[in-house]
Amino acid sequence: MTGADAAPWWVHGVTWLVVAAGWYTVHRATLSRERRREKRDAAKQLASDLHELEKSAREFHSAERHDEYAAAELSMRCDRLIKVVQRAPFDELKIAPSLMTSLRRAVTCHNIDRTAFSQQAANSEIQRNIRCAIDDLIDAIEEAKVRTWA
Amino acid sequence: MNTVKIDIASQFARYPAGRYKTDGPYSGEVFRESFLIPQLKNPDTCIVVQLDGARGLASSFLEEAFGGLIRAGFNTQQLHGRLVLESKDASLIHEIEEYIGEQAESHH
Repeated sequence: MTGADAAPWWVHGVTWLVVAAGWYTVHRATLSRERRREKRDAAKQLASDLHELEKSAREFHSAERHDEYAAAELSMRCDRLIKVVQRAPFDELKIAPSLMTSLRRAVTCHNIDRTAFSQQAANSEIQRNIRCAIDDLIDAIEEAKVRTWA
Repeated sequence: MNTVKIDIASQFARYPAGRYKTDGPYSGEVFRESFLIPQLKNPDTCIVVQLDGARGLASSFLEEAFGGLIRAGFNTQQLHGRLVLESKDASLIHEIEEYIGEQAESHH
C-alpha cells in the first residue's frame, strides 16, 4: 500500500479545492488586467477622437466661408464626445463637467452660426480656446486614467 | 403652481441650431421667445425643459435661449425654482446655469 493511498479521502478534496481557488484567483486577476487594458485603449481612442474634433474645428473656423453642414456636424460630434466622456467606462474617471462645458463653449459658442461667422487666424482667441479646452480635457482624462486604471 | 413640460426634441426641433432668428427657424432666440418667455410671464407656472433627445445642442443656441432670459428682463430669483432643466448630460445643465449666472452678473 502506498502513502497516497493511505491518505484520508478529504485530503484529495482539499487539494482540488486549493487548485480550484488558485485557478479562480489567477482567472480573476487576468480578467481584471484585461478589462483595465480595454479601458486604457478606449481612453486612447477617445483622446484620438478629441484630436480629430480639434482638427475639424480648426478647419471650420479658419475656412473662408461659413459651411452650414460642417457647423451642424461639428456641434453633433462635440455633443457626442461629451456624452461619451460621461458614459461607462469613462464615468469612473469622474471628469469635471466644467471641462466638457469649456469644450462645447470653445467649439460652438462663437463663430459657429452663419450670421456671426468670420475667418479665424490660427492664433485667434477662438482657435486658442479650442486648443486649450481639448488639451485640458485630454489631460484630465489621462491623469484620471493613470490614477484609476493603472 | 402649474408645471409645463417642454421637450425640445419633440416640441421644438430635434436638431436646434443657431443663435438668432436670422440663423434659422430653430435658433435659441426663437426657442426663448416662443417657448420660454410666454410660460415664464405667468408667475404661477414652473417650466421643466427636457434637453435629452435634441442632437448637437450648440453653445450659441443654449446661451441665447437661456442666458438671453436675463437680457430679456428676468432675474435669477424669478427663474429660481421655476426653470427646471432635465438632462442625462450634466454638462448641459452646468453650462446653462453658467450662462444665466454670467448674464445675471453682468446685468447686476
